[in-house]
Formats: sequence, structure tokens, C-alpha cells
Amino acid sequence: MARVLLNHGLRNRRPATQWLYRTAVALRRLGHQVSYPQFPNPDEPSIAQWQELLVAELELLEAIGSQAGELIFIGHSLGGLNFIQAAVDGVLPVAFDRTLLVAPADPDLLPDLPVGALKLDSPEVIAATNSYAGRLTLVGSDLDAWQPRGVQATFGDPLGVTATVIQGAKHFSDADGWGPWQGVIDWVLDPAADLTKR
Amino acid sequence: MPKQRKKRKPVAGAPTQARNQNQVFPRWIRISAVVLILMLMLSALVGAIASAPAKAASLQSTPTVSFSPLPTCAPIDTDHDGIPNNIDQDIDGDGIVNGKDPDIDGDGIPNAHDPDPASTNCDASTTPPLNVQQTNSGEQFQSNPWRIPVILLIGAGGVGYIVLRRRRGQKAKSDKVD
Repeated sequence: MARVLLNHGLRNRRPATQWLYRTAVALRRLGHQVSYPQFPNPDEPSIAQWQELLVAELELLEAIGSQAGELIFIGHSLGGLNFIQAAVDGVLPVAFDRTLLVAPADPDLLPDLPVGALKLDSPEVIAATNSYAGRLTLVGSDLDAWQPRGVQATFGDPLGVTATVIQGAKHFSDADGWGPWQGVIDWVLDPAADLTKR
Repeated sequence: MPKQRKKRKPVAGAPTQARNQNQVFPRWIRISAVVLILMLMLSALVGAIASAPAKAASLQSTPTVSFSPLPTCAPIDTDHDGIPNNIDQDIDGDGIVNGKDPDIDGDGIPNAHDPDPASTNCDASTTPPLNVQQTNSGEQFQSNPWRIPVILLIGAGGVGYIVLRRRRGQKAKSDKVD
């Protein structure tokens, strides 16, 4: 069993057809403790509000106790940056055991948000991210408009992680048709699972 | 003049002597002894060869994708709080979380000028013990440096024993023939 916190991205209203929703349902059916909240004002998000909710949900999962399993964070796009920003700010009450960042957006593309100032190659960001992420896993695609330099160059290289690149997955969004994703469900159960499996 | 060793000849003219010789060392006992020694040597050799490649194969198949790099030697714990630096949210224990700390490891060198700002490199003072091979996954196994020489010694002993027995048999036979 595991305790899983899912953090959606920008302009996302948790569509029932997207992989995040389906993953939450599948994991709950399997008996995992899953938190999948709607983060406020997704069109014009306040990172302070998003972090407040992230911290509150994490505290709730932590309160269940470690007997409920590993503490896992799965963030998509801006959701991944929300985690990194929270790690840098040191607001998270506890570190995750494992973290999966799916298509995290390049901070340079979000200059109007505080996360746009994140310098991923700075020692502070690297140390903070690794210390709160536990085992960090990174997934991206070769055709993601939110990662013009590619997931490996933008995130993998600075954070010291080899990213799993899924060909043609674009931004893993609902509009990209990224619905059922067996690989991520398997990954929750087993960190060595094949994340490319649809 | 030293006694010249006579070459073994067929004992066609002495069937009784040959029969006596076989009664002292019956043929089936000699064959059984040789087969037994060979089997012992072979099983020891197969055991030594089989265990090493299997272990090596399992180590090679260790997944290396998607995980944070693991240290290949003992990790550093700068503030001695029991949490290794690579998962410590406040590496130097000064109360400032790493993400906001201008000197993460507290060595007096600002992060921007520090070649190892978070002190996550391996601790050079603690090296892995001898005869231990370590992989990226942190898995370890012990190697036994005496295994091969012991097998060779057993093998040489077995071969020597067989040769000695054959020579003694030949000598006894030639003495009787003479």
C-alpha cells in the first residue's frame, strides 16, 4: 500500500478522461490512500495558495502513519514545479519517499509566476529538491511544447536523474489524449516498473 | 650401472600373473577410483564457475534508470543528525533549509563558489572494505580469493595420485616379470 499525492497542472480541472483522474481511481480501487485535490484558480494560480494546499494534503497523508505505506508525490507540469518550489522554500512538513515528475514545465516559460524564477541548476534548488523528493523519477516526451530544450537537459541533467522519455506523448495532457496509463499505476506499486506502458 | 626400466609388455605369456595382478587391484576398483576423483574435481570446478557468472548477470541487470544517483561509498552526514546529506533537508543543521541557505554545507564557502556545495560527494576517509565489489545499486557480494588455488591444488593432487598408482602398478608388474 502507499499514500499518494497527485498535483495537477496549469488550467487543469481534473478531467475524468486524463491519466491523473484515472490513476487516482485505479489506485483507490486497489486500496491506496490517494489525495487528488483541485488546486485553486488553475487558470491564474497563486503559488502561495497551491503550496498551502500541498502542505495541508501532505500533513493529512503523513498523519495516517507510515504503516499505510510509502509517501509518494506525483506532479504533472506546474504541479511538479509546485513541489520543487515548496522544497526550496522549506515549507513541506516531511520528505516524500518517492517523487514522480511528469512533464514538468520549463520555469522559463512561466515568468509571471514565482516558479518562473527557479534556477534548476543552482545548488540550492538541486539540494532542496533531492532532499524532499526521496527517490526522484522523471518522465517527459520528445514533443513537449512546455520543454523546448527537452526534459533531460532542463531537469534531468541538473538534478542528476536520467529521464524516461516517451515518444509522442507531448505534454501528457487531456488534449494530448494521455488517458489510461498503466505504467504510472504499476510504478506506485513498484519503482522499477515500466513507465512507458500505456 | 643403474637398472634400466623395462617397458611394459603385453603379458601374453603370463596369464596367471595378470590374473593375480587384477586380484590385488581389480579393474572395477581402479576405474571407480578414477571416476570418483574426476567427479569431485568436476563438481568443484562447476560450482566455482556457475556461482560467479550468475551473480554477475544479476548485477548487470540492475535497473539504473530514473533513480537519483546513489553514492558508491559511505555518504556524508555533515551535521551528524543521522540523515545523510543527499536526503537531509538542512544539511549543515543551521536551521536554514537547503533551498534558502547561501552556504548549504556550512563550510564557509558560498554555494556559488563551492565545488561541492551540498557535500554529497563520497567521504574519502571511508572506503569500501577489501574484497567487496560494489555496484551503482549499492549491492555487495564477497569474493573468495582462495577458491581457484584450492581447486587447482585438489586437481593436481588427484592427478598426481593417479600417476603414482599407475607407476607403482607398472613397477610391481615389471619386477614380477623380471
